[in-house]
Amino acid sequence: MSEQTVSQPSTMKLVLRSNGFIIGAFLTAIFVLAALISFIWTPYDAAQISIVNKLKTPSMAHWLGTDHFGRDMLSMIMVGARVSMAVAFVAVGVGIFVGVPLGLYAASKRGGLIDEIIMRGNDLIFAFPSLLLAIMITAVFGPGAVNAIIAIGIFNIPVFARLSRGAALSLWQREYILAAQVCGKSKARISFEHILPNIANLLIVQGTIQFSLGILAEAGLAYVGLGAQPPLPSWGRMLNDAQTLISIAPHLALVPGLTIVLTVLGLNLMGDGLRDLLDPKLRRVKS
Amino acid sequence: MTLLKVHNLDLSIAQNPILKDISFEIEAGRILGVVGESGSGKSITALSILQLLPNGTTWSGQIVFDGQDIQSLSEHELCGLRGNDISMIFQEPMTALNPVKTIGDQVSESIRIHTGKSRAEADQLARETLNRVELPESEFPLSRYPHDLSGGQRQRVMIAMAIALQPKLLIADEPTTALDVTTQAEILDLLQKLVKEDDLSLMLITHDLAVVAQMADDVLVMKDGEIVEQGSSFDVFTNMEHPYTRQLFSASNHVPQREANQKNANDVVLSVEHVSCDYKLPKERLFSKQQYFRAVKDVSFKIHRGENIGLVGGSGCGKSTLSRAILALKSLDEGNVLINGETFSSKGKGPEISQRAATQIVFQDPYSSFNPRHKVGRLISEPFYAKSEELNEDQIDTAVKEALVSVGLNAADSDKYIHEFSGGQRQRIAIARALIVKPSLIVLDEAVSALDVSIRAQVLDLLAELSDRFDLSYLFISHDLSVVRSITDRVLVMERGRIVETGPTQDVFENPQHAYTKSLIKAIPKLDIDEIRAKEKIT
Amino acid sequence: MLGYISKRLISLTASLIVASILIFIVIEIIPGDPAAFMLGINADPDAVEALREQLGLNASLATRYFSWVTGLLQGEFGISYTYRVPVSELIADRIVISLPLTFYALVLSTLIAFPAGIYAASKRNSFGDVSVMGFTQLGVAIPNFWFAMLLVLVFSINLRWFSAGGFPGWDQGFFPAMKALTLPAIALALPQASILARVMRSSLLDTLSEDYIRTARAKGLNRKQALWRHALRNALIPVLTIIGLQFSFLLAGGIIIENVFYLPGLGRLVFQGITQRDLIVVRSVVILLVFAVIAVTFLVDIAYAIADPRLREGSR
Repeated sequence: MSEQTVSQPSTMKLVLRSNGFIIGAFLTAIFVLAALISFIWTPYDAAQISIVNKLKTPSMAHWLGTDHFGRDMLSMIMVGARVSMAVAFVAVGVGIFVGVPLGLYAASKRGGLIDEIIMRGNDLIFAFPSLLLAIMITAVFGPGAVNAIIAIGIFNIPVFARLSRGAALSLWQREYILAAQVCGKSKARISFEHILPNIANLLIVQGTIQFSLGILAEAGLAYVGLGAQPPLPSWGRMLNDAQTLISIAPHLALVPGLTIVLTVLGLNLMGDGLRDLLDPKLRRVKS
Repeated sequence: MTLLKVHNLDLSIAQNPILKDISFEIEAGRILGVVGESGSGKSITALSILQLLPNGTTWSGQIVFDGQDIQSLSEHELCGLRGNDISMIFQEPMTALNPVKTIGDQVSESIRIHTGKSRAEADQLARETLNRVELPESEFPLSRYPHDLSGGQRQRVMIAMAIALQPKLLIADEPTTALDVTTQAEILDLLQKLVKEDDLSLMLITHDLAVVAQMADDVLVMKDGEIVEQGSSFDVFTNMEHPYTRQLFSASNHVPQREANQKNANDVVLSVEHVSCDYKLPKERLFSKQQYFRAVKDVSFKIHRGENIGLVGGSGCGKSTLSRAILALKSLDEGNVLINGETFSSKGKGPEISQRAATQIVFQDPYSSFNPRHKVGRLISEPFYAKSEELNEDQIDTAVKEALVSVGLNAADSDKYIHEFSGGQRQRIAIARALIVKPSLIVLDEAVSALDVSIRAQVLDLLAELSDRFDLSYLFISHDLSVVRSITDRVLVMERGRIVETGPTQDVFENPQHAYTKSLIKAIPKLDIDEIRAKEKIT
Repeated sequence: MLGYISKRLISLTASLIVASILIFIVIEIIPGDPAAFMLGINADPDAVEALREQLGLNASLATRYFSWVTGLLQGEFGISYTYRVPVSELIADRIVISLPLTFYALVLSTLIAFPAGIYAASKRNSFGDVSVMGFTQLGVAIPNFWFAMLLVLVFSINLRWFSAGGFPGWDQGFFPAMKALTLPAIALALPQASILARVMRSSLLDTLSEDYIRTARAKGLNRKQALWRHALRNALIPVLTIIGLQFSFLLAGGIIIENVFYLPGLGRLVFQGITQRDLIVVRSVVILLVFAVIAVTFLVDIAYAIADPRLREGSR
């Protein structure tokens, strides 16, 4: 109603103002880089056993020390990053590509039978304690990275379906959606043209959060032996190996544990920062 | 006696100056009307008296209430003042009450917090206060929750909370803006009655000059954080010294110039035939039969080419449902809608996409009417989707530019995003979007209700001009009767899903037949200098 | 209120039925013949066939499903393939560890999160708020099993305040048993408390910006009174949802944490069941946990109705 438009600070200024986002993006970049570099180079072969060098604490030769088989921890962390990130990333993809269309479709048929079925299906997945579902899936198909992706991905579906349905429902009340209907556009077209671009921010933010949750879940599965299988190293299994040795070689537990914490922390900080940057409401309050 | 004295008040929020050198006084037992458009600083002035200012506010000057300098009071002392000596009611009754507490709880809380009365005593007083605001015990026991009360009833609860302790000053910030015209009249009457009974002072903030003219003893006109004119109601309205006051006054009474056009009785653009619409009601129990609510009952009318029709009625009368049904946004449960003689929508059957170009709509809220992620050019050209012939990009571009120019904007605006425009400009863009496919009928759903009076007058002029130029027909839906009166040829009055009266606008307003129409027209606040003079003579 | 409860009860039953069918089918398609497993690799095919008959594995899918469900309704889960004892006995032994652990963690999580969230919201942007939020950011990022290992390292191995694992049994007294569950409960609770505190804070901040808070302030309530009397109850509505979900997370998390602390709970049982192909055990534990989650969801729905009169009167 005001005749003055709100002046918005430029995106770049906001990015620089948000310390959390910068720290988060920095941490995330480190681990993504480590994962990528591991394809072409690691300090040592991550699978190479060298009993002479076992249980070395961090030194110039082995920056993060060696494990009980004398394998280089830094190399293992780098290769493990690859697995962790791939599993979590693909699982988020599964959630978005299945969940978002379901949620948008349910919202466009609000209150109908299909909406009801989709939403009750979501509730049903939520009724299974997450890890239990993963355990059942790996019990059926056997342990491995692909099955970890399926197990985590299934859980991402209702998360994205609910989020996009809820956001879409409030957008369906907007007058520009009615205006598009007056022009004869179908609900599917409106969902794609008008709703999807307007919930993209939400999806990106939720995506980073689910990505970090995926890394935690993958670590948990690997810890109980249901994630990626040897010889592929993984953060969760490194922790499992460390457990019995924790009193003699605590660095075996500290290194992979801190790696997980920093990765997840980085992603979460980045997600929160993104939310602030992308939310026009917050922008106005801050300016 | 002077109850409140504000002297040289300067105020800024986060270093942006909001108020400049505000000085005024409120006398005990009198009504001060504060009038101004959005952004004039009238609400902030009120909040500064209560010291409920947003974070980051700094102010200087003097506010003296009943002999106490507000600035010298501690937060604790201010809490003792608020709700006890100075009370306030707000614009949005729907969100101003706590949804999880009963109305009795919320009224008696004001009492308990200030007086230390027992629960029973406070409840007793709350009951009496609710009775005073005409919410009788039989229908409105203390144990009722706000969620099933109407807007007017909630506003009464708000008033009860405010007056329970008989404050000296009541501040009402746009108390009736969100309400129907009849409810507005009732609430204003109630406020006037309370002012008399309790000898309290009322600071009435509103954008509506007519409300001020009807209620206030003294008037304060604000613009951009400054007071441009103040004095007794009589002086201000008879002299109108400041040009802005004159501008406000003329905009409030604005009637757009229209050509007297000859209507061809056979050239019917819209024909609504025995249309009824139902809504599903929530089921009471899981297996009970589905119940329906008939929102529109057997409505029939016609609109001729170039004719402007008004559709008026209180909230919940079915006028929005009817407009949705005409545009085939909602399916019909009975009857037919014909556009240019062809069936557009009938029971169970909507229009072909190509028929859609014949009707367009302009909505109330200029802020949610546009997808914020598209440029204006794309927004305006969206209705071309309904056109059967394929247009190339140049043709679309030309049409967009033409449409922008015809609503008084620049052709270059098509490359901007919607957030770069003000509310009034957005409403022009909405009209351009409706205009671009050269429709026969545009539905204007409260299209000027969210605009300030001066902007509203400009948009009304634009609409009148376009109607003449393109032989456009309008269905003008509004709760604001004075606007309907100024722009329409014929008017339909709707009550509880039925059209209860129809006729030429002038006739209906001057000589209403149906009881409901009479009550509506009687409730319109009048901005009539003669009446203000008459009132002055009585007092 | 009654209408609302009956509606929720029906949807609860429906979810249970669908969940039981799903679990049944998933377990059915797991490769491997339990009879062959029980008799060993060199078993006589006739003996295997006889055992299959005896276990009822040769009946049709539908028959087996219905006999399983009717058994469940009578508290009969069947006989464990490996332990050769009724599964109900196995579960009874272990549930007295898993459920108390879950509730212990839930109570801890709520007790930490509520004060932290309320404090942070009421002192928004202060140093206290920023530190609380910093801690929760860290808490959310810590894997609970790793945190458990650190707790063991510090409190069991170095300080020797707690034993590193195992469970003395409830017959050894309430306090020794609770002591054995304390480290696992803390490990489970802390990450969840961080999430809950964040939700509490943001929900409270949302309600604090509502119009009715301004109304309350205009009535003469100070900031604190407005928060406690008006904001808190409204803010609790989304928080309840999260508490309901946390029950499920804690149950699942318990499966891993029991492994870290060598607690003989349901989690250990389910793992042993999977490695030994004891599908009756797996199936029973899974349906039990799903039932627990659905039942808690139901309780949360009831709590909603108590907190929100709009739901109670069925107008929404």
